[in-house]
Amino acid sequence: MLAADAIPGKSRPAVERLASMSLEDLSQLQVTSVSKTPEPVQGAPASIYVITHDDIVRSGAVHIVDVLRLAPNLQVRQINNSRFEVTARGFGGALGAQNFSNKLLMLIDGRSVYTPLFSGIYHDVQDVLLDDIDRIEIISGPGATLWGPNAMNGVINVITRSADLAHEPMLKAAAGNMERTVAGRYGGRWHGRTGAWRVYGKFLERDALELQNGQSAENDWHKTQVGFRTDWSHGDDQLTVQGDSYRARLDESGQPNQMVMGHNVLGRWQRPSGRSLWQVQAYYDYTKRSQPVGGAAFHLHTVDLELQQQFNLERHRWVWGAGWRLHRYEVTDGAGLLIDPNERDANIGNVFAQDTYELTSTLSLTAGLKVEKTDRDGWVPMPELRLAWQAGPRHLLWAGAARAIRASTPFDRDVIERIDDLVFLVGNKDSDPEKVDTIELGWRAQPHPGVSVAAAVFLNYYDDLRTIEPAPDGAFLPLRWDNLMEGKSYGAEAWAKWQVTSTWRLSPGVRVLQKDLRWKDDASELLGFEQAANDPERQLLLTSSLDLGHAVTFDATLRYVSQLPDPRLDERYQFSASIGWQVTPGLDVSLTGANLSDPRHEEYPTADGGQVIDRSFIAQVRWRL
Amino acid sequence: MRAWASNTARRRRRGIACIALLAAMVIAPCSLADDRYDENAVKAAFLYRFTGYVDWPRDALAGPNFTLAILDGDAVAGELTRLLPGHPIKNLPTQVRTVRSAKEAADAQLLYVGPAYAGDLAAVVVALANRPVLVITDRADALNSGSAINFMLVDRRVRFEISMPSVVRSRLWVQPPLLAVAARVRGIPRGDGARVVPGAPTRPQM
Repeated sequence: MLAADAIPGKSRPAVERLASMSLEDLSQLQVTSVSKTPEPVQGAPASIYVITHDDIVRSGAVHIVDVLRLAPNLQVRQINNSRFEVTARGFGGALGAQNFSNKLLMLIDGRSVYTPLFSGIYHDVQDVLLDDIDRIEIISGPGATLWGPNAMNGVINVITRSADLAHEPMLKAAAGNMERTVAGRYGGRWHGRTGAWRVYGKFLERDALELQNGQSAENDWHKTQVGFRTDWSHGDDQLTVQGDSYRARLDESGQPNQMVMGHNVLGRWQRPSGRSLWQVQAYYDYTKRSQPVGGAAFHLHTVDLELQQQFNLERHRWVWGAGWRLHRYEVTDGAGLLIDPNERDANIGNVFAQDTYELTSTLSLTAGLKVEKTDRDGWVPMPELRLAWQAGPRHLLWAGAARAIRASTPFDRDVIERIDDLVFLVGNKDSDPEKVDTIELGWRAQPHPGVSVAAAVFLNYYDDLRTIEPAPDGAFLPLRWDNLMEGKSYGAEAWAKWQVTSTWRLSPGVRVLQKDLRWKDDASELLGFEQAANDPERQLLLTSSLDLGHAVTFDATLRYVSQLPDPRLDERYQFSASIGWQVTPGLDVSLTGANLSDPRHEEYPTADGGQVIDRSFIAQVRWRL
Repeated sequence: MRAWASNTARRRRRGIACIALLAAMVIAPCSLADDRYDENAVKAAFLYRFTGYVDWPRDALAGPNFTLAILDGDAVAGELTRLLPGHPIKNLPTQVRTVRSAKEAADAQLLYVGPAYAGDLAAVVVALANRPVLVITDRADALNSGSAINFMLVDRRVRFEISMPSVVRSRLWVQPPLLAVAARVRGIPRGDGARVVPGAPTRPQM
């Protein structure tokens, strides 16, 4: 590789030479691609950042939640060893006020992994084999019509590769001072190359973090996961069936260990016919979290069915669909927490339609509405309006307005918390969904073949944000939930990808956020505005991706996060880097270091001091047959 | 006081370290050269090689030229223009034609729609319905719009997928060696051989 680089003025092989190669050899050539940006300028009029397969592999990450740190429009903070707060456009909640990070939706291959019981995402169990991921699309801003409830401030959409593109046997092992993982994949093609299958397994263990006093937090985390995916085609019809099963143990200092397990299976059928595409998708998901000794446990079964059609009619592009979801849950009493009723079937139905109308050859208007019916919130409309103007071949200006919600949960309505015999907190049977009305303006451009830029400004009006209030009859206890906060947030996010040379890419990103919250009438102001969030105002990200010839890659990321207001945490810089070496076409190794500039830091301060994250190194070996 | 001083010094050291790392991130790469292949040249080579494994009905090859039409793919068109002189296809002299709409490709043998094309791919396919034109696209999910072959980038390699139902609808046929290299194939359902459009070259069932 050094020899090749050393030849001055080495001319690129001419197209004639390429044309004389075999088809197999042509499909094995690594190409430079500066023309293709992951976010095409013509794409959807929304703020979308795409983490590509290449970005994921090069990052050296071993769990999806670490990959999410690559997105400039997300903020990821580690709370303890297995718990994370991930937000887009703020509102991460506050653990001390039992307000979780709950305004961001996450889907893995079309399956929602947002938990409807407590609201929010258990990031510890949401994982796949990272080598199977095609891309992760991160939409900041409301996902009203297409994504529905709980996509108030954004959507994380994890999309794995079809088995046709990822089935080669692979073995991977990684070990470091904080975590270790072993993963493998095996698969093949169906007869006639009209489909393929794969199975995978992954084991991950993470060592405990430290407390402020230097002692171990004793929160080790072990997780085993297996899964499969198969894709068939039968003429124009496409069928995908996939599933996962996992089991994890989360140790907790001073408490019984938490056991977590789950299974899911999903089927998707697509039929293109002429200018329309039909899709039917169904999945079943089971998840259980429990503390074997004296602790609470919940079982949640989800069945989801969705029908969708896209079609083009003259200058209209229509998408419409309908869906039904059943959540069947059972919550067994914990020491101080119970949900009443503790068993229930929650039915959710929805219909939606969206039309993109080409007003002129450069101007298009998208209007959509989703209406969701739940047995508790009733009918909830989620409208969306977007305008896209192709201001030039390489410039897209867009504007959007939408209303999105966070659906109320059993934790909002039915919870009863006790300290010994004293009832401390109760849910509110009249809980309202939290609502946001948003206005966005955005710009996406490719001013130069090697440069792509995206920027957006937003203004969000929140209403019915959840608050904690004293008992209404004058007695202080039990406290209860209410919806007595409102206010606005505004800010901007921007990022760019600059292919400086054909082997070196720089990706800067910036995010600023301001909040201006108010109490509604009758609010007790018992806990301050900090119960809604402890968000930093600014975040900067700079990633450098460098290819040192064919075989060596070097990636580095510098991140700045401004101070957190309450509980306070100083501004911080984080530097991480990863070096990868492709030893042979089938064998690669990498060494990754995280938090290199800051050996001991915390990301989530709490009243009694946050947990300390150490500088970490991890070495990986990947072998592909 | 001392704690404050050491804190400041630590912060300053950290700041210097960050600046040094940043400088290294910026300066190091500038001297490095590239030894990979140009994506557009590889795609042009593929387009040329595809023609060797695709059968057109005889009437489609009666014209004076074998025409490769290119819609919104200037770089690929440029590479093809460089390549094709001296490389006849199906014993016909070749011609590269840059077009602005699918209709202008109605008498061509092949149409490549580049990734820059922002319009409706299904409309392109409909405009060429029943014409023996091999439609090759360069966009995710384009096979759903009815194209016959679609390029994709997988791990920095140019790969392609083939839809046999679309191939057959255009009265064309793809030979097995090309299917064997495709990253994925949509086949013709068993027993559907009889539905092959009249005029298509007769081939054994897949």
